[in-house]
Amino acid sequence: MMSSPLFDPRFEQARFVLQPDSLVPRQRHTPVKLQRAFDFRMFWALKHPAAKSEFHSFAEYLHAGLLEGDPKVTSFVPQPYRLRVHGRYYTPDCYVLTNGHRQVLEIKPKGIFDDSLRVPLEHYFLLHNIEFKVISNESILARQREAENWIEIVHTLFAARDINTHANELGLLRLLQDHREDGLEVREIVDPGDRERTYSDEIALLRLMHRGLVCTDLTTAVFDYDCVIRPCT
Amino acid sequence: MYLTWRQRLEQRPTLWDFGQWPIIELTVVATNKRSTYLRNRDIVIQALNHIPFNEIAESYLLSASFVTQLMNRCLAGEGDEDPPLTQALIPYQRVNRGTRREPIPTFDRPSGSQHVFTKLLREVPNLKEELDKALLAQLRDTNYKQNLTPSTFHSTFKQLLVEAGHPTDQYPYTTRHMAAESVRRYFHQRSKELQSQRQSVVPSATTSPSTIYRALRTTQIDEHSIDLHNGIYLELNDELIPLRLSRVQVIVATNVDTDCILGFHIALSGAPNQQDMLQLLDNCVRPWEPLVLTTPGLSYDAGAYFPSGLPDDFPVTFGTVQLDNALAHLAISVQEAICDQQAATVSMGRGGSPTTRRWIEDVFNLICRKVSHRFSSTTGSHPKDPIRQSKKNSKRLPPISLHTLEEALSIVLTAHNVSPKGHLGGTSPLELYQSHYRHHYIRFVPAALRNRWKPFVGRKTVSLKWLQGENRKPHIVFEGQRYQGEGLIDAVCHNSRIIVEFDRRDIRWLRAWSLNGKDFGVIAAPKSWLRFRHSIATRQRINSLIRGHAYHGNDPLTAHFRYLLDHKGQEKGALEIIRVYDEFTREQDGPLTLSGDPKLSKAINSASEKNDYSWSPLKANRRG
Repeated sequence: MMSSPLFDPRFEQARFVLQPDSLVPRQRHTPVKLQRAFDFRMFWALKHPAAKSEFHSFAEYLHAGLLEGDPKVTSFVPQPYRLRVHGRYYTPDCYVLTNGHRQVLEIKPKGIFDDSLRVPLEHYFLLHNIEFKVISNESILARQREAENWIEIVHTLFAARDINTHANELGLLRLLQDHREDGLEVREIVDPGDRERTYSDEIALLRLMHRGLVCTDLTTAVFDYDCVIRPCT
Repeated sequence: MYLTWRQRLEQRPTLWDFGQWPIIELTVVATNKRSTYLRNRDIVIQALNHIPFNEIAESYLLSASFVTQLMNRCLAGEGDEDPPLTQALIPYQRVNRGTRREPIPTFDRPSGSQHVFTKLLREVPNLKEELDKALLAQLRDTNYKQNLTPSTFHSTFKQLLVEAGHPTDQYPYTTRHMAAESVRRYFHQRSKELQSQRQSVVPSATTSPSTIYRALRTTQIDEHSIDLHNGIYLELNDELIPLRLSRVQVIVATNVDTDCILGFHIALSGAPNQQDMLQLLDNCVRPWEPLVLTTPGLSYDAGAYFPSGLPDDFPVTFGTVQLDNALAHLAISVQEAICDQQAATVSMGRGGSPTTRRWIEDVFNLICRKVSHRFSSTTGSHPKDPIRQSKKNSKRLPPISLHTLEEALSIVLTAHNVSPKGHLGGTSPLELYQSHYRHHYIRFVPAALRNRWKPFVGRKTVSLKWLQGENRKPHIVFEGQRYQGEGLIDAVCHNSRIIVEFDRRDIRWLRAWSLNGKDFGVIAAPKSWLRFRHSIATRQRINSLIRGHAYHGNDPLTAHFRYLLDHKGQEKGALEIIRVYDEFTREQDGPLTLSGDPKLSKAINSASEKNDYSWSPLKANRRG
């Protein structure tokens, strides 16, 4: 029997998902009642400039920090859709755009997610060329230090959002190219004794790190004056 | 599988060493059982040292079978369960619940019904699950549940046995009452277990301890009630009015990693509002200056400061601000101040888990120990309640004033910052704070960005209205009142919506801009609202009372104050009087003076001159 080009059995379960509005990801604001019920956190993320990013658990919050630190991630949207699956309202945890590849993520303890939700959602998002994935809290908590480092950097960059550092960034890149082998310690760029004077360089450095042009080890160490900065390429 | 003591030792050879067995303190064993316990222990130690059981038995005048029995008591049991070990050495201690290894009795082979009910629960498919389901339905109060009693539960039990095809010649059919007593006991015991399981599921904090240890990384903020019970005299119209206050709220912010207290604010109300929260944040960030101490005997410790009192090299910023779920913390203005202006994270935490913010609770403990103490109840539960304050004391006003309380708090909290702490390695919180700033990368805010800190200033887009038919000037509506200004006359032709900027603490005048940023200057509230400085909270309260016909709105600020004075008998009302009095008189030199004196006309005239209006009550063609 010939299969119709319009029918693909992989999409069979997608009919259990109802999508009332568009698939343009937009953060669903958390009502006050839910803010009081969850382990709620909120901050301004650089890769989600549309609104303050809202998170319903510590793992979601750290995950946002990891996304901020990943230069391949273009943007993300927490709580991006409100769907109805089998008659129940369901809001995924995060939408991530990575080099043109779209993912919808659900963050669960031990990565265990109810199959009655997971299967229709996988099929539904596949139909729209989006990957639906469940990741575990534990895999995120294992990278807690890296996430906290990036959140602190994002806080600093957001506070300095109006400061123009184009010239400082170019100067810094040139300087780091000259020290390609040994790298430079942060204290050689940021003067601990006079932070006011070197503030523009400090912001330029953090912006270059955020864009993935310069690197330092943030997975094991806390970002500090003794971190060594090198060009990434 | 059931294991004897010898099989257990083969399965777990480490148990041959008595040193690996759990230790029981001799003091926890009852004195009348100690000697037997020690004897049993010695027997087991010898048995584990491969001494023949006969020899051991002879030396203790026991039979060899007793030694075997004791070893079995300690080590035997089901293979997948832990043996009782040392617990079994205590005489008469029940070490296992007992399980039935005999088959279920039938009419042909009666073998007693000991532990047969638990065997039935274990072996009949779905019996335990279905019984638990019925109990849980009762506990959860689900729709269409059966109203369970021991009797109905027994009926369910019998029905489940029939459904499972349990043979009718076996237990419980072999007993006269069909295991009714076992079912009754199981019903009560299992109900308690399930209920305790449900209650024990308290929301746990999902936060794991941070891996980064830095000053200003995490700040905790919370409120705490302080029993005040003091008196205050208000000077009004050259008259002193005595008021008795009940309790105030002190809001404190403390830094977690350095244990350094960042600031505090006393809220004159039962529940702090968003403006109190903003005031606290402002106190933490703005340069702190010591209070001018007026109370004799009080003085600051040497070098005692809040961190904002340090030089500009150590500006206070926020990383993550941990709050509880109080409504004041959820206010948009508070979230904007923390997230937008301070570029920090707001963390509300789960309800019912205050231990996640233990540092701020420690500060409240400090306040309770050093600043305040509990007073006698003023009312008690009934007229003859012994905890009620005596008449003698209730007529005397305590000598502590509100200002003294503020001074005492300031002194105690700053002294905490300069006291060496053991958990900080002998340094003081303030020293550690400065050390972190000097030697580690802490977020720094330059002076240019620091000047942008305006927590009380808000912006709002409003419609610009012009009622031409009534020959009025253009106006906007803000917090229930019409605001007018010369700039709006120019704006009305080209703008239907404008932006207004307001200070929450004083909303008599607003600043207006077009959506493109063109400045329209200052616009003013109606003249009747210009007399005293007042906040948004006060305006909203007054509007609410006017709507409820508590008083007339011709001179709302005066009427509101008179209304509060009429209700000054209530202690919470007295706090509100103090708050409003403080708000009204903050910018004026002398005490508050209400209507009927030249100051009223002077205030109105000065307001008129400032904004160049011509106004009279007759022109104001509007209600109330």
